[in-house]
Amino acid sequence: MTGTGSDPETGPRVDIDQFFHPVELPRTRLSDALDDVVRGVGNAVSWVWVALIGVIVLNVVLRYVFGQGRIEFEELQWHLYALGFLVGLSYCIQNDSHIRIDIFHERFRLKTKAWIEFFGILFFLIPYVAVILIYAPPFIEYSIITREVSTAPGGLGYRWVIKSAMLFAYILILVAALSRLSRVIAYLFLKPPMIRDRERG
Amino acid sequence: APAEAQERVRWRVPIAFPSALPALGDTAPWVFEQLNIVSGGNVQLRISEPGQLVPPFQIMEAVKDRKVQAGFTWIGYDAGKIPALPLISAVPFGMEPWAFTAWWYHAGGKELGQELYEPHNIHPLLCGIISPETAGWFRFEITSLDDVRGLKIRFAGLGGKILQELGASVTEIPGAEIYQALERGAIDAAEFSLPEVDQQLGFDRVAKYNYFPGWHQTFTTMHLLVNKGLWDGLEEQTQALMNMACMAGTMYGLSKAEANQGPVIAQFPDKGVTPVVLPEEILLELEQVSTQVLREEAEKDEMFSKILESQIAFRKNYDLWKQYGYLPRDFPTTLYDRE
Amino acid sequence: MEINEILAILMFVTFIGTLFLGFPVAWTLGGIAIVFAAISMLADMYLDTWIGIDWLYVSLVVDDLWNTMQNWVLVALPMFIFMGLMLDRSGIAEQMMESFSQLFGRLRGGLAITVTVIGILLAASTGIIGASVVLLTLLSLPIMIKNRYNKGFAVGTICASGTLGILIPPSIMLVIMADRLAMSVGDLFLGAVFPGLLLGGLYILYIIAVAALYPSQAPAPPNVARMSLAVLWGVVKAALPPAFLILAVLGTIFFGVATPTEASGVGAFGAILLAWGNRRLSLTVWREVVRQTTTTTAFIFGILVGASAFAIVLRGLGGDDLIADALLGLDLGRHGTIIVIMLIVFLLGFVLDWIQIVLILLTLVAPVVKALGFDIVWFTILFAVALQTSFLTPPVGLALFYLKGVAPPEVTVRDIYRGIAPFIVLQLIGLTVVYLWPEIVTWLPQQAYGR
Ligand code: NA
Ligand code: NA
Repeated sequence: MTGTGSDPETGPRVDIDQFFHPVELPRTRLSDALDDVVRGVGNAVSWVWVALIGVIVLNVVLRYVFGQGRIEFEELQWHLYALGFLVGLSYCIQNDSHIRIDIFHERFRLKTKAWIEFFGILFFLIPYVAVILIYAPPFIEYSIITREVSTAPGGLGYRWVIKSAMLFAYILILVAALSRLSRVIAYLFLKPPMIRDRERG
Repeated sequence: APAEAQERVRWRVPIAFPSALPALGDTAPWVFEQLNIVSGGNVQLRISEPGQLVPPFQIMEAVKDRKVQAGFTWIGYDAGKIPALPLISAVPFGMEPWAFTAWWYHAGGKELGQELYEPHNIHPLLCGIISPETAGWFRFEITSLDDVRGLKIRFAGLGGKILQELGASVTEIPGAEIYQALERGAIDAAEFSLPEVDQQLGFDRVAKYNYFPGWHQTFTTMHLLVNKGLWDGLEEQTQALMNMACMAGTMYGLSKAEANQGPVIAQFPDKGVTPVVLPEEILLELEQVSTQVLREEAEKDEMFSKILESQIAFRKNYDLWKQYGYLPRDFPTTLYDRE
Repeated sequence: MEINEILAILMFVTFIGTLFLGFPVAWTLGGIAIVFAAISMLADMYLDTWIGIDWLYVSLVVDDLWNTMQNWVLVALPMFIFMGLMLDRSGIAEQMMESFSQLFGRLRGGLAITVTVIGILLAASTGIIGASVVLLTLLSLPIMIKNRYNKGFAVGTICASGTLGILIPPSIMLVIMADRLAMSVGDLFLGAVFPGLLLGGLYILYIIAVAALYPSQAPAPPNVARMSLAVLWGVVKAALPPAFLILAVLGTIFFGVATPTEASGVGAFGAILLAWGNRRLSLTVWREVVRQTTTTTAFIFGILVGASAFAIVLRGLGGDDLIADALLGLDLGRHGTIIVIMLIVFLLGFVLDWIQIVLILLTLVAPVVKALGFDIVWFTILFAVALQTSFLTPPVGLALFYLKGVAPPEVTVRDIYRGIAPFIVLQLIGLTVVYLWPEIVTWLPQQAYGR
């Protein structure tokens, strides 16, 4: 986890791990299973950015070279982007890259950090996610009942599909949160810790 | 004996347009203020500006679920869920504003509107209406249908659909990007609202041809949407008060919109803006396509068809009256038309 | 004081207190919102208050999330991030910055000046702070650290330069302000040009001064070759393609070939082509870039989404009335009013993000300021400069978050706070200058439109 290193063969590369600031908690079998799901979905969905670039370039070429405006592609752009950032929310929990103000945090003992995680997940993260998980289904259901479509000319139909991405993403957030919670509980209440975070990957 | 105390109403009401916009935005504050005054402070509807609480496109759903008690919005935003809404919010080659109010208040429009919203647990009150919008701000002149083909234009809703049929390259880039896209030429033209409103947003600086008439939006309504359960539970007195205030709001919006556009257009020469009327050839073509699009919509949706039939029936007689009752539009009057 | 007002203040205090415990900002914001919604419901039940928040009201967070999903303008954010990451991971960014530093030779602070200049160019093409800060960090922070810049100084330069985008047009903030006040976007865009350049200039002056007075803060590169044609050619060769790419992106926007959103996507595409052209486009690079784009985009949105939940509940508690009443209750005279407004905006900027401040305060004070006979364009720009500062002021300084998210771990929050402080002072100087000389704002719109 040092900074930038220059490699004559491949050029300067930055170690991807340097971007994560993990709270080093033991892993559990449950957390490993849950993390696999979150990481797998996150890795797969990450390719959405390439698709997004493709759609934008296609749209620009169509408009400026062929004089054709395609609103379905314009809408597809925010569909893809929404999917990407929503799924990313859980991905960030899994690799612990949500922003923390760690001016004091970095000096806390691991035990203190674990208690903060414990209460934070239980009283902040889960209630917040619960509100979305409770109120998103009727929101999506209404879209299905009304057969909601875009009002734009040539816009996309089946609005419920992209609206469902919200539910999907927040279920993943819950999964990632439970994984983390299990690690915190394992550390705080069960001994000995099972797998050290260092062994990751 | 002293009058029974009136019930107290304290609602948070999101609005779809900033209250600083003339007619389009300032009707709601005016209506709510009147309600407050005449009820002696018993009925208080508090505005929450767009985005403060409920995103403008979500107002209807928020009212339906009673996340908020009521909302003040342009209901055309919800056409994706209720396809018939364009007919009562703004429709290409539709009625003139006062004709629309005649249909709404006295020819079954209101009842159809209520029927339309019934399954959505909402009670709609017509609460504002404004004059035709402009047909858009263009960077260059349009002389024929050929100019429409390939035209890069920002145009919303059914009007956009029609232009697309005619070969325009229609985009719905976000409102926030219109000014810049127009200024830098990423688009050739854009429509938004009344000349007065557009001018406040600065479109006259970046596009020098302002097109008329507003074929795509001959009237634009605003509605106070009230959660139906809540509305039904209101005392009769409160309901009457709201009905009355909204009817006044309709007149307020219309008269204000009518009053203010002339002076704005009069100042165009100083600003280097040219007002242009679309050539009849183009208008005729637009009307053809518009009729075709509306027929298609009517086939797809039962309520759309029902409301359209009602409007067509109303128009049959109304157009007779219009034909006989009014002076021709361009009739010269010696007193008012100097020269 | 009413119970709801006490709760509103408590909500702020709890938030700031909890923030420093180090639980992720996004979930702290969202969580505090839910906790205080629950408390206010309990108060309504047992304390005979009438705050009126219920779960249905809280569920507006769903509508708000959907609104963010539909926000097409924000599509540019992941695209600029992708572009930055692709340039970084493929090594092109370092090559480019390396050559620039050759170009500056022994000039101390050359890299920092380069950052500011790129920041100004970026600002002129996009108004999305997250994108600018992330891009600048990826492009320049590793090499500044490698060249033994003081970390705080490097970080401060990046954050400040990155936030210029919200002021220098195009800017979403100015668009929203214009919309709120029903005024011309054009006036605001033109009005903001000189204040934006003024601030950029102040940064550069500061950098030159620091580099001259404290050479250890911004040392010259240790291994500069003597300037020769060969060296120059090397520089041109290395710097030209990426510089061309960045200029091409800016150019397509500037000359109206594409909207900013589209240009961001085209820029990302260009970065792929560059990496490919340099034979650096391995599967590993692809993977790292797409995954890190997801992560970076998501931590930014986590905060945006959490903040909107926070705002919904704060509003339900009447928190915005509290702020508004406090302001309008005072009678301060003409200039006193402006100064107090700016002070409040500055202070609110520590804990709220700009959009909340615009929604709560701007529409409220604008008519008052107009009635006092001030030029409203000038006032709005003054407001905008104060808001730009809010990106830099801890603890809720979005630019600081964004930088922290992609900076190497040896850059601590302490470094960031220490580094940003002088730039906040520069912001205040800029604000004062614009306040004292309104012509800086009003001159350009007058020239262009003869208002
Ligand atoms: Na900008
Ligand atoms: Na701040």
